[in-house]
Amino acid sequence: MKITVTGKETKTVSCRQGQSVLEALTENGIFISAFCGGSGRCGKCKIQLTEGTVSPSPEDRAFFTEEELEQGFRLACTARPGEDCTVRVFGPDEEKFDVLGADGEGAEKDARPENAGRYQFAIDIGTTTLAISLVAEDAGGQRGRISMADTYTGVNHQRAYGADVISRIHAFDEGKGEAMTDSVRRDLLAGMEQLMKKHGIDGSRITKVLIAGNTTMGHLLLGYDCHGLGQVPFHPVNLNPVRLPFSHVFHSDLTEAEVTVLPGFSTFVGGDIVSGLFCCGFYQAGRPSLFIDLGTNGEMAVGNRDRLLVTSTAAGPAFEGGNISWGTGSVGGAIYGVQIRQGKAFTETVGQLPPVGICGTGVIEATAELLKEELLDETGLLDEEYFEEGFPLGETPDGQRITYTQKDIRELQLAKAAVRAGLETLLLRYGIGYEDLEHVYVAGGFGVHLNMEKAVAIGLFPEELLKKIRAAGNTSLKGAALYGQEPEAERICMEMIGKAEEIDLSTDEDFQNYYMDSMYFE
Amino acid sequence: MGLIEEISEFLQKGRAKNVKTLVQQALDEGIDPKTILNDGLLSGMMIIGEKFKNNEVFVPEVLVAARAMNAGITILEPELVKVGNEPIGRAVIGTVKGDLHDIGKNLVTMMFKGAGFEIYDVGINVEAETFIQKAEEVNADVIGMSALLTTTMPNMQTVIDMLKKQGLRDKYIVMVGGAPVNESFAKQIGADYYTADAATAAEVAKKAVLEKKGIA
Repeated sequence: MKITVTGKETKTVSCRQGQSVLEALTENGIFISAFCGGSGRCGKCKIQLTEGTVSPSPEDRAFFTEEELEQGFRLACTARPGEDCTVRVFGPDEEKFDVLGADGEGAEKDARPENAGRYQFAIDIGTTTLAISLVAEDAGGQRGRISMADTYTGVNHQRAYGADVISRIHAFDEGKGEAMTDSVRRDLLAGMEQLMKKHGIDGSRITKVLIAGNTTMGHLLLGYDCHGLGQVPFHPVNLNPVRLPFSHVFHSDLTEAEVTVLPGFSTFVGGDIVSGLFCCGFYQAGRPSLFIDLGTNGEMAVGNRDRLLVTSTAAGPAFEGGNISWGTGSVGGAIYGVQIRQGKAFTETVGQLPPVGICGTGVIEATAELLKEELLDETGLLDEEYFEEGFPLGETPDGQRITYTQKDIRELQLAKAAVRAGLETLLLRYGIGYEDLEHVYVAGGFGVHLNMEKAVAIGLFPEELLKKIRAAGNTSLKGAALYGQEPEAERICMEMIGKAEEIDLSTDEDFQNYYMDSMYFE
Repeated sequence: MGLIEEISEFLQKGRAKNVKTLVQQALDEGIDPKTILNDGLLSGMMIIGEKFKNNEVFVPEVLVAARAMNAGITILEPELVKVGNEPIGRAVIGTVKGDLHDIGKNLVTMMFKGAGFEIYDVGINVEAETFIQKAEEVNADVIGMSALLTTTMPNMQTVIDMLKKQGLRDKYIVMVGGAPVNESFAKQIGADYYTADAATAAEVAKKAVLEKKGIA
């Protein structure tokens, strides 16, 4: 049968019996938000049936009022049409993620890449987004400096199988491994091809492809079995560096360069973190520093050239807007900056577009402002006036009120408590205090846009660290680029891994205590 | 304010010491230990549970209230045994195999206690056999399972399948919960109930057990 999709554009796709609207759309290259991977939990994949009927699922009843159900609102993931229908899709365009390239410390842009002879590709496979840099080989001649000619960024279309790594592993368990491997291959090939075309570079001038990503992303790219990544005791297939011919990894002859997938620490602390620590020079430093990647998995490390402790903390998707009522990724129109004066919100949005939702930094800013204005108490309870409906932050172009609700604040409390407790536990185990740290690197796009004072105000980081915090940018990408230029990179990274010890927070009693202590705003 | 209300109030504020003192005082004054339990401790915990469900209070408040409740119950227990107080029912609760998440499950056990259940917490990363053995051993009414990972959710089904195989499925009320779980999944694997939060889980369990026993 056929589904006609209306919204920003109109398109007709086919749908098989028993297939959900979400699956049909995904198969046909239409990507709508589905944080939970289509399991009816997040409520983000809202559609409206304008023609045809689909009876409401239990999940529909949880997310929509009787009136909305009558108006045809359904979740795309639980709607399984039995006849031709027309659906309207909503939400921000998932293709328009504000992805962080390699800007920031340690990278220089070469305005005339055509002048260099040979190039390498440095790639960061993020769970949500992808970044590919064309790196001129030995352009500066200076060791440790890298010359990024150009960077391509895009969405990881595996996102259609779930927003976080656990949902991807679950999708693998359900037989979608091959489809996800194909998806990331296609995405990366498209990006590399685009960069080569743009700069008139043919495949013979590419010497190496360096890839960093978390352990699940690496496994999916290489077509490994992911089952062991989803359950205790965790069993990754391989964490060592992998060097393979391009054609083997990508099933393409775009170039004959060798592909290297960077090594990882463990199932939950992967090659992206090894790359990040390599990029930030942990292997050289005498004084210990702290490294934090604020995502769903909240990976962290503390240490120096002699000793490293790594961990990951289950922050959940709140920092990515995941379980927030009006939450969204860092897309055009996402509210990222909030100021509240006299009970009124003044906001800034990505691309200065009309507001469509709130992204992670917006969530943190809104919380900090509500605390400052005493509209939120230290236990996380909103002022009576806003308790029921939430605090209004703005209005969408079609007149809906964007609110930050009591439930959202609870989600944020859990997320920030997990990160703060992880940080405290790491320092405790390492046996040092805040004053002993040289730097605190906050990696990822999140870090660059985050107002650190507000992050401190909500207790995500202790105030004592404020002056030491550095937004480090996409360290996974920069580390991969550096890895390609540094002849000793593999040895250095393997030594770092050898010196690292992983802490399991889920069974750590100190972590549990810090976690409870960190939930309040005090 | 009467002594019983005071116990409830202090419990809601998480004041374990005051609760202990007042429970002892109530016993000394000859108040029926069942009244102290039901109208003082459990009703206080139910109020906190309701507030938690409505997002008015958060995890830390629930934990300190539960600690105060436990402090009161410790004082009360010998007296309850003497008068032969029967719990509403017995529940075996744990996090399924492959999953180490603890906090959600602990909240559920506290709420169940608050609803008057006798709780057997079998912990985290629990084998299917363990759930069933424990339930058989203590003559439980409810088996409650928690999973926080999409990848470990299917292990709930293993327990239910094993119950069926051993011809024990109808003997127990099977409840499931955890962030990735929902109503459809619960139905699909053949569980009796899914609830979105710990307080509702306790309410639903209480109602289901009373119905099953033919009391309500």
